Amino acid sequence: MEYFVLGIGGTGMRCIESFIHLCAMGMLDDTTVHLLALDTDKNNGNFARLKAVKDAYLNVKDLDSSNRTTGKDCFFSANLKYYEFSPNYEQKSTFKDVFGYDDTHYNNRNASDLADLVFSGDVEEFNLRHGYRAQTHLGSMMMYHSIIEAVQSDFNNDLKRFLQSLIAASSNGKPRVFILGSVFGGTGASSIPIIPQAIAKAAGIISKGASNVMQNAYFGSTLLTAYFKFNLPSATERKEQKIIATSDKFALNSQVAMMFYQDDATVQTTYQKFYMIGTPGMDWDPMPQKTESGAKTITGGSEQKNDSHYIELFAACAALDFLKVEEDVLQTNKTNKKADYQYRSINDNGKMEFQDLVGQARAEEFAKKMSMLTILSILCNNPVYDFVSSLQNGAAKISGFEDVNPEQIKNLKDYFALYHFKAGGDDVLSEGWLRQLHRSAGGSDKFLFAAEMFAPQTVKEQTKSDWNQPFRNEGVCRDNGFSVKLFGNKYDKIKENFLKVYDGKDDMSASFTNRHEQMLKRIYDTLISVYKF
Amino acid sequence: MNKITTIQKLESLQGSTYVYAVIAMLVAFSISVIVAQMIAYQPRNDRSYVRRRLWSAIICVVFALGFWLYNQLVVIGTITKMPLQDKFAMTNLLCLVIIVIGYALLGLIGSLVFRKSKFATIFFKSANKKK
Repeated sequence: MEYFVLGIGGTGMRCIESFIHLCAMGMLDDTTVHLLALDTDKNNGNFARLKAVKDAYLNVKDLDSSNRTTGKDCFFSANLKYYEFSPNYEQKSTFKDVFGYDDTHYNNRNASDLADLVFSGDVEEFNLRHGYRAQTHLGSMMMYHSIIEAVQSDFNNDLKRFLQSLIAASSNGKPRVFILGSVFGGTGASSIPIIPQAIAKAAGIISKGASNVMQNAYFGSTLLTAYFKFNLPSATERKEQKIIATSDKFALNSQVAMMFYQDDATVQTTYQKFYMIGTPGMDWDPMPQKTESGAKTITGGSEQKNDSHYIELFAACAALDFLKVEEDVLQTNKTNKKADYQYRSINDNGKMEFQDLVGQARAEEFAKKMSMLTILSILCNNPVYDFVSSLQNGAAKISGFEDVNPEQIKNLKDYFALYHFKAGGDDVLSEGWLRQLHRSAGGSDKFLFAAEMFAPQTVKEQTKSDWNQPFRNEGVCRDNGFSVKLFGNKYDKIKENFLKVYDGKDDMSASFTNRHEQMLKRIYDTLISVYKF
Repeated sequence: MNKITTIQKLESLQGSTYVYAVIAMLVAFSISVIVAQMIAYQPRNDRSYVRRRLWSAIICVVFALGFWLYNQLVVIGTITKMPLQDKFAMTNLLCLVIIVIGYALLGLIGSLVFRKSKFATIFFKSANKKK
């Protein structure tokens, strides 16, 4: 199965990051996912982090891209095809430069007057390299034309490759396209309304009219409303930057955007499903260190590396849901030119449950796969265990894994550093995606797992912690875990089962050709058995 | 304990001593398996097999020597004639060899049959070492 997912803007990048983590958990078995990361600010710190996650994921599967395949009932089961596109604002960095305002003003006065009518002077002159800065009226037009120009260009690029895959999929069936982004910022908010038309038009150009993506593809998107705040800019910064997106306007932006998506006939005919996602408040500070040091407002660039928030996992789960929706539902909506608006609320006590993210039907599967990936991250990145490396180098005294490529293991550790934690030189655990999500949900036991899963701050504390009992005493999977024998330890139980997991049955890892994937499959089956799933 | 005064009684004692030696060897082996299973695998550089080997050797020595010493110090005193005592001393020595060799052989066979058990690491560092 093929699936097309676009992440747009800074929030879109973080949503793709969450989506990749879902893929790593094994939530998209037997699926090839075409991921297009689309951002105006290609130097953005979140964009860089997404690339690091993506690179680690792909190399964990196989260092050779041609050998990567999909899997089932294993970690990293989806095969990712990653593409990225950024409008080029290096040479021409303002609307006036891109539009050729001065020439137009001289040669076609009506056009420049029209531009002056809809755009204020500051909007025409601010630097576009850090995105559209909540100026969606400008951003929609700029993004649409950037996409069209990119496919009309003689140079091959990722966008063309993405569209070629989409064209191929739409000629063989009905591909699903999902867009991840926010409605309150700049790039995402500008692009969500126009992306279906833009990519359909671009696909038409590439296929010379042979492909009708708009007719064949199903479109879904998140409508992600404001959930964070950042420093308000000083008067000097406002003057320097001309236009700055300020978080005090995000709630208003969101409200207006939702009214637009409710009323606009065009988006309702192009999209089949919208997932409305939001938080009760906007208290989340995405860059606490920067705020504490009293830094200036960061409009973009490498310094803009926002921490992850649980709402981005909700958005990724919306993409997961869209893939699983019955085709009849989407076809009916498409025929009737109507979009469904989906939402789900969480428990009043503020404790997030697995079913809040994926629904009751998949809650157990999600709990199982997310918890097992988290346990593997502990076994892999906690230096006391260092399980995966010790399998490969023979230190675990289990033979048969000496030929696993150490480079892939390094990538697995890099991946888990981004997913969960990495032990620093002082044995303090760094904060990866999962720990950031836990913090954003309010800490303690509010985020899916038992509080003790996130309480340890050092290697020693984590080793002592009860990671053999990852779930809370209530809710889905509360009984999944294991106890330790009188003279045993947690690691002992895992190793014993790892040795015997395929006794008396077929070696399930044999379906993989890559030795590293074989090893991960064996670990997956071991953990499933040890945690009594 | 009855006094051993005749060759017939000695032969009967020799037979039962051999049986007790085999029983002692089986008990030692069982304890060795239990102790090996109780010793947990160690994370990272797993040297838990060293502890299992050590305990296995200690159990073997304790049982073999204990059995031999008991016969030498207690049982042999019930034999009234010196030539019969000499014969029994040889039997006792053979029992010692039976316990040590039998214990080792049983261990090796057990390790080969249950290659993925902790007990197998007494003979093979890797618990899943191929035959």
